[in-house]
Amino acid sequence: MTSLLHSHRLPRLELRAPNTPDGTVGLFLDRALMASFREWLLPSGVSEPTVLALNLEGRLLSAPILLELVVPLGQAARGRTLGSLAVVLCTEDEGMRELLRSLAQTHDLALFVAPSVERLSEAEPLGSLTPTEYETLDVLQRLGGRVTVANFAQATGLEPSAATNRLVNVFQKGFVHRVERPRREGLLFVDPRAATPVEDPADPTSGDFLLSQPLRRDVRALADMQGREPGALLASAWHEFLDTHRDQLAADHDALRAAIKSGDKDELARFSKRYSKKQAEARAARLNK
Amino acid sequence: MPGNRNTGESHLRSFVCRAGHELRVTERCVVDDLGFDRETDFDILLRHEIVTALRNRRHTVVYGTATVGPAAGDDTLWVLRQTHDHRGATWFDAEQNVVWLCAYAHHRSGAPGDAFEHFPQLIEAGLMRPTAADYEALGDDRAERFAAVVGIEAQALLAAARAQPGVEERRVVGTTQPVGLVVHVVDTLEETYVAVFGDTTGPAQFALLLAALYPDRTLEEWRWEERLPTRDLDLARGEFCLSIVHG
Repeated sequence: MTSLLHSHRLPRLELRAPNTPDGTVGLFLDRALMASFREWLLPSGVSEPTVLALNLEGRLLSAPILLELVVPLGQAARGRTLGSLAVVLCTEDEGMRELLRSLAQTHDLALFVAPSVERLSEAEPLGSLTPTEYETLDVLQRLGGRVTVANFAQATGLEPSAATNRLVNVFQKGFVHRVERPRREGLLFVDPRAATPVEDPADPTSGDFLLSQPLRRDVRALADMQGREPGALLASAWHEFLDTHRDQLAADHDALRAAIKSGDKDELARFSKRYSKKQAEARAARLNK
Repeated sequence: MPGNRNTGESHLRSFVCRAGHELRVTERCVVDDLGFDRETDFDILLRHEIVTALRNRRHTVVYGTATVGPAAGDDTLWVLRQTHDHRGATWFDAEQNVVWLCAYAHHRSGAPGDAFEHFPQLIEAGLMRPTAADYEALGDDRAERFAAVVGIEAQALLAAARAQPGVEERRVVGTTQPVGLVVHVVDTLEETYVAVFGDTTGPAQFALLLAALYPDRTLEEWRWEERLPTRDLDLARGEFCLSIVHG
């Protein structure tokens, strides 16, 4: 994969869940068990922007157990001591969410809480954030979760220096990832709520990769098989198409030249529409799926 | 192409916005909801209040402010309002860069056939989104637009590139096809490099473009290039390049 694609990719998403003594639901009262789960989660840190989503649905955690789990993680995210890591706790339990809000405020943590692991985009930031910082996160999310300073400045009408300050503030508080890129491309600030699962097959071609969806899927599958970059493969496919059908294309080309010279617009339109029906059927089929 | 030049121009069944996207009405909506013939041009459809609202409210912003049903990411349907009485449902098809007016109905709360009863019924019946016929019509209209302008626009592009040898001139031909062109002068020979994006180019449009640039030259005279003289190709978009030499 090229550095270009890496420089645009969304954060890696890791999904984890603590097992209760009864499996995946029920009371969780053993602090030592929780401590060992937490230690297992983060033995040494992360090497790329990562979102750790902890599924707490169905687990009844007491306040001390929650403290055991949440505070070290929230502090690691706040201080970036384990690298570029964001933590999302997933629960619909309003009581637990309220407790998490209090913990995040009291201990100055950087956390998000989402209703479920499937609804990461709805995650609420928890911690000591000012109204302006909440607004910054909101704008960042509305802009698709990834912005440069220039994008952010344009969207908010701020001067670049003010836009930089706004983004850096939320980055320093641990609520946003910062991706270093070549100077001419500028820093990229990424909202953790835009994370994609690492096992998502769409990941290698996500981000600013500009292929249309159907081509993206087909080319990705081919590229996966051949171990090549999808864009380069597409260019090669064009090369091969023009070489393979050279005789037919040469005949078409001659006919088109004649139509252009004679001003035969009907013939040009007929030729131009040649693939409309097939493309339309494919598009409608994808939509129905 | 008549229309309001401040917002765009209508062409066949589309309104081509200056922002780059198109506005269209699905065939089902044209026939069942608006009462026009299925092949009615956009200009004629503009006689209906909701189509005027479509043009006026979606020519720069492709989304609305209220949704029809729950928000669904890229699949979200948006309410289009016109006075108290008219309601439409629009959908932005990002892949095709088209805002579709998918449905229209009167709005009178509690009245039979009210828009907000009608729209969920269409969704439930699978009649809300564009069909293969809609996409075929879209492809046909785009192809016709491309064919109508490619001769003039290709020559204008070539003239602009020749005016500044060695500088890449980039334009969108036929409102849908981005093309980069560099005329590179080497001694007494003139070379023209043409680069297009593989992800947005159709075989028919590409063949038309080459013929329109040099109607006196055969396909065999074009050759593959690894890069433009001015830059590397954008492989992430499957960009490819051909050149032709002429004295």
